[in-house]
Amino acid sequence: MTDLAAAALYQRLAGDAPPRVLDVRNAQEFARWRVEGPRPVDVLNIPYFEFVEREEASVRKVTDWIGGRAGDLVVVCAEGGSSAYVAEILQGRGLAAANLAGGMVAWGLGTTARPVTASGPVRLWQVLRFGRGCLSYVVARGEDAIVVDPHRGIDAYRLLLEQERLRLRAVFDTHLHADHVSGGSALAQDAGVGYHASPRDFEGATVPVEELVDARPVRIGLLEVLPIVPLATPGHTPGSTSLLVADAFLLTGDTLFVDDVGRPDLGGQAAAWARDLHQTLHERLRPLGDAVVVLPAHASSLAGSGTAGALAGALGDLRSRNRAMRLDLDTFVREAEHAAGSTPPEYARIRAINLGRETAAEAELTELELGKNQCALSRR
Amino acid sequence: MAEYRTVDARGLKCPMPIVKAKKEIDAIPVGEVLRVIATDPGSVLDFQGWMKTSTSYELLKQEEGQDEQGRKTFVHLLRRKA
Repeated sequence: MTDLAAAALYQRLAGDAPPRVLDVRNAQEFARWRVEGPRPVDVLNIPYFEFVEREEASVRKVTDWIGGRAGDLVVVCAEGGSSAYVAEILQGRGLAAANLAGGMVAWGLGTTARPVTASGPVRLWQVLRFGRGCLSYVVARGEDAIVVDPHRGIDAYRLLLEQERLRLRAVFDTHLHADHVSGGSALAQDAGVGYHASPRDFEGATVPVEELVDARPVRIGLLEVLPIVPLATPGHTPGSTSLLVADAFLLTGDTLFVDDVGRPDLGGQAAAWARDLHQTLHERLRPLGDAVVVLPAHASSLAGSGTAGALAGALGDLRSRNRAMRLDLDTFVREAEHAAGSTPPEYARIRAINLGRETAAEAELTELELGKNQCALSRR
Repeated sequence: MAEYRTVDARGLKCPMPIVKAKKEIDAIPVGEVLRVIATDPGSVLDFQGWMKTSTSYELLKQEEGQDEQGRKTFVHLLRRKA
């Protein structure tokens, strides 16, 4: 049995000879969420119980699908057990089949880190949680580093910090996340550093939070030489705060993505928050130059997320190409109201967990985070 | 309930509940019922899917419950039709 780790599968899907994916979960789970890569993935769904019931016919389905084509196969299920069972059957028939270790649970937590800037006084890494399209960041100068918008798999950040010989000095969340469980507080407490976030979003929090104040540079020890200026950018949430790093990088959280903007309807006040968001995009960001690099907390598409290059865009390019940024106020608000959907039911629970008011066991955390994020305005 | 042949798949993750149940259901006489007790919540949709793959079986009922250890259980009643 060949086991493949989630990050290794993602790298292979980005490479020259991407493997095919045989997903052996039931049809409902497959329809809800599946393995995606920087390019379309050749995927087939045959539930494992079809192999249990009709092994011969199921194997034939697989060989018919592959045809005479080269390349190997990765079998995927929810937690890695059924896919191992099917991979073994296929290997017994002489097919090169690997197993995604840990299944979609591991896929949902897997990350890959790419440098945004390879040189210069400020170094920046973008951490892509590829299964969910979430982006987070490590920013460093010298040996000092901060982490922004970490997800709950905090070992990924610890590992990166260790590899780069960096010392964690502070952790930030750009807003109170509702689509995923934040690792911010845990990562900060573990390292004995401050957890910085908007008091507006974190009202009533039981986790210790150091308050971000609009336009007041954050000073953390030696990072005084690395100015981090919080900019209040409300709209996706009332407390959404973008971080301007070294006057060159804008970490926008879920306010502004490369191809879209964040949903303003998750608080049940689509029109009011959409007005805030429009003002943010046009008034609050106006002083920033076109060369400022926007680094969002979500990717609406993984295209271009291969082994090189971060998912980012120059503010000037976004001003001309991001459709949502070009709409006038009335159209923007009208479209936001029209697109306003229901808030996924698990969001309230996730918010409460991120505030420290509620706790959940690992199995529930996995369940709460199933599927892709739904934070972008137009891509749902 | 007690008279049904029972597969205890508590604590087992997929594919084992269905692998074990498949072995048992093919061993019982046609017309009889097999009771499978599992703790994996994923078994609910998987047993529904599995029962649809063959005309020899029928899914009679699925029930949630709790066992003596306080674990949430999913009980599946299957009938062998042919």
